[in-house]
Amino acid sequence: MARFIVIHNVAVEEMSQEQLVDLAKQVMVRLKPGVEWISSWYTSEANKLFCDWEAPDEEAIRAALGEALKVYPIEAVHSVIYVNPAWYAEQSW
Amino acid sequence: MPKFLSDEWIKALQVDINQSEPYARAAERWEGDFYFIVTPEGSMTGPVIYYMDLWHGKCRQAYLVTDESEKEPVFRMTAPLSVWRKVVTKELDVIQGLLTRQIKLKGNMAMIMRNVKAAQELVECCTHIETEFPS
Repeated sequence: MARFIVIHNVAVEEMSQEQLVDLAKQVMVRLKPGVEWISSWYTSEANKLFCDWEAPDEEAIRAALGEALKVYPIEAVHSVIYVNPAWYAEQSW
Repeated sequence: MPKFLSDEWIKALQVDINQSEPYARAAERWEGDFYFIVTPEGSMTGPVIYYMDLWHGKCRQAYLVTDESEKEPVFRMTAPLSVWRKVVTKELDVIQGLLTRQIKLKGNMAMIMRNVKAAQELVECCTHIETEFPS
């Protein structure tokens, strides 16, 4: 399965805790088999979200995001390759 | 050792905040007051409300409030004693607590998110206080 980093601008100045949590829960409900929201990182300096996804393609991620795209519009989607530093700590190869 | 839920404890936190350079830097643009509401658990007979006026990296006021209508703070964070205990002892990240609604927030969540570092430094100040927790 392909891996993606999706960069979002956080478009809202004001948001309640309820709205934020509900949006995240709705994304979880919309996840189809083979689509996984792995993690997200938020930076307050740039007011952006960096989200790590596993999905067959970009469209599957957009479909899962649904309404959240209004609050977190996508700035860029990058197809990425996962690299784990632990691979280099192993001495078996 | 100050008891958690006492006025002495919040005053000790105020002193620590006002001596913290990391907090002052992280919160230099912060303007907004809080109620931190501890809902009852165990031996507690009712909610305990701390008021804190946080302004540009300093804590201007901090005290125990007996009547919730006494102030109209910009933010209200509410959680049971066990959750606040985890926050104060850094077992639970305050942002994780908010994002999972273990801590209920009334107020602009986006503003809190943009000031994560200030929130974390405030919790760091809490850990400097030797605290006696109620059973």
